[in-house]
Amino acid sequence: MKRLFSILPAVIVAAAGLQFLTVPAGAHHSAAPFYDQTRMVEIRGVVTRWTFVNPHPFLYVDVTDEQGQTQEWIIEFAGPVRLQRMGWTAEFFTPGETIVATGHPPKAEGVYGMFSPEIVREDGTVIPASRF
Amino acid sequence: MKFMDKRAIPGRVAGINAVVSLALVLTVCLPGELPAQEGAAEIPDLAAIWQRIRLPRPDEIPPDARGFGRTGSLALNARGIGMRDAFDESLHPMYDCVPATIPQLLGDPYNFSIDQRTDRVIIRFEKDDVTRTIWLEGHGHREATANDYSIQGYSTGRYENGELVVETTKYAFNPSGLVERSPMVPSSTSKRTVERYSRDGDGLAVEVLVEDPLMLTEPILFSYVYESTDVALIDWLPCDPAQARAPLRYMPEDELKYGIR
Repeated sequence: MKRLFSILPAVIVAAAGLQFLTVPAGAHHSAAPFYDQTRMVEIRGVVTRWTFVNPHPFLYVDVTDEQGQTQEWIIEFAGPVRLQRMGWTAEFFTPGETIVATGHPPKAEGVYGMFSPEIVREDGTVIPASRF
Repeated sequence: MKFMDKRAIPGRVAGINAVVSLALVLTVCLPGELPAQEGAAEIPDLAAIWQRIRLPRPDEIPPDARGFGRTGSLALNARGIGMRDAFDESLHPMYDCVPATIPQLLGDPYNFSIDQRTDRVIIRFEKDDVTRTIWLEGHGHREATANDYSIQGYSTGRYENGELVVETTKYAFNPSGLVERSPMVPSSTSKRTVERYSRDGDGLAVEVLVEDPLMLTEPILFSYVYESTDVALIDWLPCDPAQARAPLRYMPEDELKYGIR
């Protein structure tokens, strides 16, 4: 059955009255409904919690503004399976470490989150953004 | 429990041998243990760990290929359109840690293993820690019953022209059972899938025909290709329902459809 991954079968199948459908390489959910991919924000804060669980790991970061007010930001990452293949673990981030994260903010107002940002550790190590 | 005295065995060797021989003969000959079909050459070797090969980019899809990568052009009937419009993102089962089903299980970039046994095939997916059992025909397995409705349904299989053909019915209603990406499309209990697994050189080709006459005016055909990998499946970490739902707060309410207002 050497017929897949070719464009021609799609046309043939469509002509036969079926619908031939491929789906994008997905994950737990799409980022599009939740995050504004036209904007980028940068935060600098202190890690308070790292939850390496399914469906997506979250990094909790306390960000303190110039007035001394602290706001918790929640950073969402790609699924753990993919991250595990890249060497990420439940100890990948440590509470107390300072990070700088640059990524897309939520679409909704009044919430503080980010998805799959680029992260720079205090020692200058760069963790590239990973797609969902 | 009574233990056998080893000293008594020599005197019974002939009898025991006869019983063992008879048992072996019966084991080989009983209908439940016979190969599903004659001709082992017809049974493809699918046993491996498989990983997805990339899909075509949008610019590789011909513009006249109806339905190809365009979920908006699905042949939904009026009920299907109504269901699609009524179900908002937040009603997706994944936000309650509910596993994906076929065909989505095959479409996501997670690996899976195929284990071909005499009377069944076991497919274990990294994604959502799903293990499916395909009951091969001709081995005395029972038929599906009305009590078999479940997320993954009830699967039977057979080898046919060098392919493993898996038919699954008894899917439970699923808000994302036809299309899991926004705008997701639910599937009904009439959903039926026919998967065809075959070797494509060193790779694995899978086609999935999805029927759901309560939602669709015609079937959908999904196709996937995979390559084998020596990398073991990664164990699925626990799914935290609270964390699964957390991103929903990031979606503006005015972008919701009327389904959950």
